Amino acid sequence: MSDTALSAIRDDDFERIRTVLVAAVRKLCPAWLSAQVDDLVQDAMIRVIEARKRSETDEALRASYLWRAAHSAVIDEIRRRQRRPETAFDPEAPDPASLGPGPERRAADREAGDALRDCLQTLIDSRRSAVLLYLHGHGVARIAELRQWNHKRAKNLIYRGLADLRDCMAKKGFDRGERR
Amino acid sequence: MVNVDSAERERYRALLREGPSRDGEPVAPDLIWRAAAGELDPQQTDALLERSLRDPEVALAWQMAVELHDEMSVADARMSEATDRGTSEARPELDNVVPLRPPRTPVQRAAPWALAAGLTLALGAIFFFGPESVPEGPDTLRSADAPVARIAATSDATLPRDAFVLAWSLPESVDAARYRLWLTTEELAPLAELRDLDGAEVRIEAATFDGLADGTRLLWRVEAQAGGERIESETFVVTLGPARGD
Repeated sequence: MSDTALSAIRDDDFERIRTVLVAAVRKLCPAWLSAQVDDLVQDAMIRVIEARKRSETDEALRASYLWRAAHSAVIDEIRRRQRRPETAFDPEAPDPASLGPGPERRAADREAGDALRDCLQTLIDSRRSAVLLYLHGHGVARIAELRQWNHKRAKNLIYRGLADLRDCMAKKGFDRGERR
Repeated sequence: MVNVDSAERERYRALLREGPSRDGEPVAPDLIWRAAAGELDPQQTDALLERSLRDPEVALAWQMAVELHDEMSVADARMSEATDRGTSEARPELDNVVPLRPPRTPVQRAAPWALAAGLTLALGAIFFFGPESVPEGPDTLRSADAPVARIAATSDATLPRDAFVLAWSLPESVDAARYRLWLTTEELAPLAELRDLDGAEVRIEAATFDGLADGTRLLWRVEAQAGGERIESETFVVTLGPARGD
């Protein structure tokens, strides 16, 4: 990191920004990437510094931007490794495949994943949207806010959507996401 | 939402994240972050949401964004609390910045899970403290909007480090819930994050507080999954006390 880049951030801010980035990267980093935490923090820090240089304001130093930069750094690295797995080779690093499920389990997961996607596709639009947001981790209140529904409508759509999803999965021979 | 429990929901979430790489241009993580934050217009959000159904990379990035947003809400709660007390130490240009403890060892990382296994010990410890240290007070568990549930929670109490029990409750009208709990220092350095708790109290292992002085104020909050609804608590404050030594 160049002195010019570092000068975009005051010295007394630097360590505190770094602690936020470390926290965020550690939160997101999968086990097979854990050896790369320092590199990912560095990557996120560079994103923050670049954003700070582009902006006249301190927006890039706000916590919300720091978390966002960490998110982007981790996601980009996961993608890079998944698309070019050969670059992940490091004799001292754990093999991602060895940390994950075996081939049979992966095949079963692939089959269940395909069934889940098929079933979600069959849901009516509003229910699919509600269920997807729910499965991505949003709560009912947040879903209502994002979709501009009232709370009751959001809750009903999730409830009915999940019921439809379960029925569909059952017809395909799955119970709770597992082959019966 | 009683038709899909948390384990089943987690299974579906994992399945959406798994799958072959997608054709076409990858979606910028920043765009997904903004969609999860509600910063995009509805059409863009719809398009990304649909893409997340076909594209595990987008599903993964979305789920991670929501997870980080949840973490950020802890920081927001900390700021609100400091403001309420009129003692905000936050620097205006770096508000919500979260200092962090040194990286935890694998043993420390495993500790919260071991703590969950020790849940039954909490009953005895709670009895020891008695009602005065676990006030049946007016602290409020609330979701982000309408539903408001009253709870009793361990707050404004001094808890011995070797018998550190946090307890809370939902009203009887709320269905049985599973809980997730966060415990941090006042500077928001994470000490413990316990997931999938099925009881409304937990004992925190003394080793969690290594390096912290007696009298240190700690923050904790809990999130309930009740009937498919997520209910978030306020942030509660307790003080770390000396070991009882028994």
